[in-house]
Amino acid sequence: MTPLLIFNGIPAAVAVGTEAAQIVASSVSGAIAQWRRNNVDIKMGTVLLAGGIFGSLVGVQLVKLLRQIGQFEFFVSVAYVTFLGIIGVLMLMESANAIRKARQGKAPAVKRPGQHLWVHKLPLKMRFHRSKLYISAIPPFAIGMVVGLLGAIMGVGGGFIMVPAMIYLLRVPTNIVVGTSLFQIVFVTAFTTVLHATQNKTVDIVLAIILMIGGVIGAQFGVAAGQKLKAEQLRFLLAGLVLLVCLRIAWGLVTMPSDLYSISSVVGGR
Amino acid sequence: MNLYLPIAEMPVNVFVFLGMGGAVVFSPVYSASVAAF
Repeated sequence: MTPLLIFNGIPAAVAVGTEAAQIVASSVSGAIAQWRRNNVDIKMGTVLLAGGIFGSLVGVQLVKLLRQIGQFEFFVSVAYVTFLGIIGVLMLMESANAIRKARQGKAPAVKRPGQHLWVHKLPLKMRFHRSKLYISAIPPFAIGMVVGLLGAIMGVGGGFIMVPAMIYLLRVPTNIVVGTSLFQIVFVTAFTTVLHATQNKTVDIVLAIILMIGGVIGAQFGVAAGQKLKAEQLRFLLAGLVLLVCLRIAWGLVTMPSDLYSISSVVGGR
Repeated sequence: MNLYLPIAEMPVNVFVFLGMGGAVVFSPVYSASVAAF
């Protein structure tokens, strides 16, 4: 979403700040629905949230610093090419495998809550009743921190990192994962929005409102489309989209800018 | 229909951005589908 805003000429810092506001709006209803179904592990969510707040604080300061030295746009582009490239390729491989297995008539492999990983055995052990886990608080804090940091710098909700990390690294039951990650995302992105607005002054309320209205309208179609398509097909489509956006940003990084003199203010202006 | 954005300091076409807002619904759908496997 942030890259799409940047493609349309919105300055990168404004795109990131405003996108945080849009994520809060689009995540609230989902978080409330999950809360009502009792799918939120509050204790796990609080640890993730503490990490997220810390990551967000660091991230917003980093954005401020990068804007001062005039390298924010470049940094965001490189960050997006890296992340979208990795995620796009992984998703493409995973969904292609799932589609192939479904065609061959094999049932998808069921992931069992296996042995404890070394990350669970770190100090500061806590009992997470809702997730039925007794693990160290350090890994969820670290995951929350990475998500908060990326949210502040790139304007992403972080569900795409948090969901797989919680499933494979923390072994949280899948029904708890979505609710707990949404719980964290709502509060961390709300905090990030306030920080961006006060520290960097980069939240455009008019743009945020337009995007929120679009989100409400789009959600109606999205749910219908989501029910018609199979999950693995949806992931395959999304992987293609992610890679296209990645290529588009990479193209912008390596081609000659239309206004060459824009460089002179950075290089020659010192 | 163009609208002026105060912070971004530029006019934008409202309908383009309404459409983009709609595109963001994919992210919760994606999270849900990831959790399903």
